Amino acid sequence: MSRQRQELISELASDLTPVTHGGHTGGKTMLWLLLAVVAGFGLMRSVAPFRPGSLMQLADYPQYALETLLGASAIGVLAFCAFRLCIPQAAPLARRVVPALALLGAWLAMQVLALAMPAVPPSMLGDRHHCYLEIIVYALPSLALGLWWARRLWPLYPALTGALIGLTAGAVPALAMSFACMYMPGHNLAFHLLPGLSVGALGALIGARMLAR
Amino acid sequence: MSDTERYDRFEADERRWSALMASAHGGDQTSYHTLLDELAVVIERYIRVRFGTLDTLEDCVQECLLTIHKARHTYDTARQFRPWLFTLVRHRVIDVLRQQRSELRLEQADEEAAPGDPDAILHQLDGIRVLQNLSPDHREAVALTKYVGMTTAEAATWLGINETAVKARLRRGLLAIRKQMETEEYWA
Repeated sequence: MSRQRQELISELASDLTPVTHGGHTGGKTMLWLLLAVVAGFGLMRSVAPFRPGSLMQLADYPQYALETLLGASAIGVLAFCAFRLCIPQAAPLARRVVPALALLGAWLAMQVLALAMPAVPPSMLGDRHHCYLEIIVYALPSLALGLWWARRLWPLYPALTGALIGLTAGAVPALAMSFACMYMPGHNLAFHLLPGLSVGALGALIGARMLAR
Repeated sequence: MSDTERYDRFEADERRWSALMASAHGGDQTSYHTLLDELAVVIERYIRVRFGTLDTLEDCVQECLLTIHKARHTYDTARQFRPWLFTLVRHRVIDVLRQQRSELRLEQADEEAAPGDPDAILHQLDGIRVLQNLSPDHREAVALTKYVGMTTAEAATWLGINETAVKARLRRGLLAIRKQMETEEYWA
């Protein structure tokens, strides 16, 4: 072994500091999700009231409940997947990412299905004027916090990790908006989901620069 | 050495490295020093087997040790050590090679020097494991562009095919290498 390498090893060993939470991302992910939900739902509620009776519709319309359940599941799995990607591991990338993207795809498919078969009778009740802007604005704090936390770990796929964090951050207010704003399937897709998913693209762009080492 | 002995040694290394890293997480410098000493040898062998004898082997090993040091907080002691280690090493070596290749290209552009004799270099690449499982077409495309340092246009001229075909072979070859390495590490 070269002398230079020996010196490096000695230097690294003397630079050693204790590690408190080695490789665990579960707690951090839960906390981030909680903050994202509080920011998304809380800020939205503080700006204007939610659509009257929207929560009761979950019990009355099974398709609406299923749509919401899929959305919530997609958000949870995306978040866990995003932070797991920040830990080096050998499992094939596709195996780690596909379940999360499949759930997101299923949620989108339900929204597309609603164009032909609305989950709830469409109405203008609860109309919010800048719902698409609200979604993007409420997603930004979660996106920033998520990327900052991811940077403290060791993401090996910066753009993909950024995209998943962005998708989660954008999906939370998009889901919240389905309770807050009017229910019209086309409006949901164009003004709630599309802005939410566009935060994923923003996350990928920022992640590619911010998370690269 | 029999298969059983080899397996026992593999398991013993795995447990020892995991325990040493757990001690290092607690701040034990002696354990950490021992761990890095052992890993340096393993990393050197890993790079030699998979990427061949690189001019920059020592740089690669030292870069990997630095990466392990910086990323040590991401190791979960309840999980296997090897997949974590080799994923870090593979990504770091590829980064170092990419960086050096772009530096080399800049130098070549400055000096207007042509790349070395591709035949001789291809001959030297024969023993490299990542290239062995590729089809001859894919191996040529990967070796000429990634090891010899040719552009896809230069490789196309040298192989006597069009550039689109070189790009397609290169893409498929790299995909096959990536899958091969992911599978190896997953089962490591």
